[in-house]
Amino acid sequence: MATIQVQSVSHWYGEVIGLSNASFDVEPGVTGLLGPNGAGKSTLMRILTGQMRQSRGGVRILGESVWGNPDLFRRIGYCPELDSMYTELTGRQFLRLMLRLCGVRGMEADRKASDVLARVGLDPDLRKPIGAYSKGMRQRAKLAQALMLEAEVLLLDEPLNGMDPVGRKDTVDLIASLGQQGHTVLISSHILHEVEQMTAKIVLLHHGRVLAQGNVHEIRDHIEDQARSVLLRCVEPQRLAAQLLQSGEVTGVRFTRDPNALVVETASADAFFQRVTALGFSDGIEITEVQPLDDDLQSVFQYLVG
Amino acid sequence: MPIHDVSYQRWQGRRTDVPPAFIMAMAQLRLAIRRRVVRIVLLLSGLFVVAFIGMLYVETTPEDSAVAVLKQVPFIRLDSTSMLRFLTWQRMLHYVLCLAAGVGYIARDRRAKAVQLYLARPVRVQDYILGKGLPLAVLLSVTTWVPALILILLKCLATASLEWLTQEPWLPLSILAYSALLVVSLVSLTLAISSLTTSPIMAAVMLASFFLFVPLLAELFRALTRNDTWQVLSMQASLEQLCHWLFDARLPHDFSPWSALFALALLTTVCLLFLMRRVRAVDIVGGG
Repeated sequence: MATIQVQSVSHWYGEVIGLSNASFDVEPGVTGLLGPNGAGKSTLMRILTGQMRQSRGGVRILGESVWGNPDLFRRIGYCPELDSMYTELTGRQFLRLMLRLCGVRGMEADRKASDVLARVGLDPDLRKPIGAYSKGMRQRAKLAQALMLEAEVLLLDEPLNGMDPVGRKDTVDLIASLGQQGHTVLISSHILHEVEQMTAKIVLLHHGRVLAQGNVHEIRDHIEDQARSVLLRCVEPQRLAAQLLQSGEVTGVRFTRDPNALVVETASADAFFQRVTALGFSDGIEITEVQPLDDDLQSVFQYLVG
Repeated sequence: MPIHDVSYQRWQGRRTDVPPAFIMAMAQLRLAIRRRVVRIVLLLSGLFVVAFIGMLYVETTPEDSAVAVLKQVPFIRLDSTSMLRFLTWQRMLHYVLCLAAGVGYIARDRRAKAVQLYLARPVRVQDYILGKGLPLAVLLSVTTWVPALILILLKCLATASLEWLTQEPWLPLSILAYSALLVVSLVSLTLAISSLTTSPIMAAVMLASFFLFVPLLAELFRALTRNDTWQVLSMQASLEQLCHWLFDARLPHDFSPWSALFALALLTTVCLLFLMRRVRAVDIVGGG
């Protein structure tokens, strides 16, 4: 069963629509929630965390309705997009307070606060108040409070914002490992290549609607009006190009600076890949690499959102 | 698709049954006591207690002692009149406590956008309001009914008798009733004003204006209409009227204590209803 079920959810801010008839399921593992500004990502995150009630439709997490169900929030870790912490408290005091609010006993709250701070790369014994933290450190502290209870569901709203490159890499690795461990992680981010390092599963929102959902490569397969670009590496690229153009499955060929490579564009990917395989076997053209160039997240995002 | 290990089990440790409001209140109280202004107000309030303990010492000391001469001073006597003084003289400290500690509670959270973090925990809006109101209630309590009841207890111990209390048996209840009215109305007003803005300073200015200008407005209406009932608009006048009524003293204003009680109850209800609407994780524009 899906951990997060969003069923025909719509939300209006007065006369402005924030989310329009959105439906999708999220299963264990990492799922990227993508979309340009104003797509409805934050609205959806707020509905999922019970901060806002949807105007229409239903949201269930772990089989339970979200709205007005504070007990469910013990099982959800939430990292909000904006800084939302007491600046007067140290990271440890802040986490301890959050843990105590979730019902963790005093001593254990202390221990867990230290553990989780160390896990996100912050010094648990740092006596500086959060107000004196750098943006990246505050981001880590915010992520720590989402991870503190090892919740089954993690909703992370732009958790990589403001982090330095090392912090980003550490966080990407951490989130990917949480997905592998069986947490359900829904991560909203603008940084597509970093989302791609964590997952191939996405939910793409645009103007409040779900534009696409699923594996990014499968989504790319469904975008038929965009020719696919494929890099081929072989010993005789000119000969390969001639063969491919004769076959009719290729709409364009481009040679690169690399003398052993060419980029072809095809409208029918399946037929093209079959042809390439056949050429490799029958015509003795030694093809060393076949690399699709535009089934990555960035390309899919651009094709769908424009 | 990657194959995920779905055998993951969440944290299964034992949870406490401590209400979240209490945990929030404790954290907030610790922060409040760190403020110098709050500590100074508590110290000043402590000086009042010390002065009254001194008064009690004089009152209960034997006639032949050196300080017995002070017994001639009319107000050196711990009774309902002096208790009324003890509570009313500290009113300014109560307002300062509201301004220095309480009025920033929700404003600061709104500025730091911490409300959404609280409400994404197992915390309801009621818990949140209670968690923010309790610290101020505690601070106001330690300057009202707590020391007042301690003074009564001390007098009972010093005189080794309850005889004096049998003449005014309602005194402890009066202290508790007045303190409850003061604490509930001040806390709800302070929190409601705190929820109006994201700036603690602005909230303090608004609360100070309420304390200052509403009585002035009531006074203006009273002067224009020559009707003392307008004073009921002033929270301070209503509290003063009720305090005198509860301590069986001469009423300072010419309006019914029941009107004062109704005005305070109305103010508190409006403030609490306003807070319930105002405290939400997300500032929503328009409907929805």
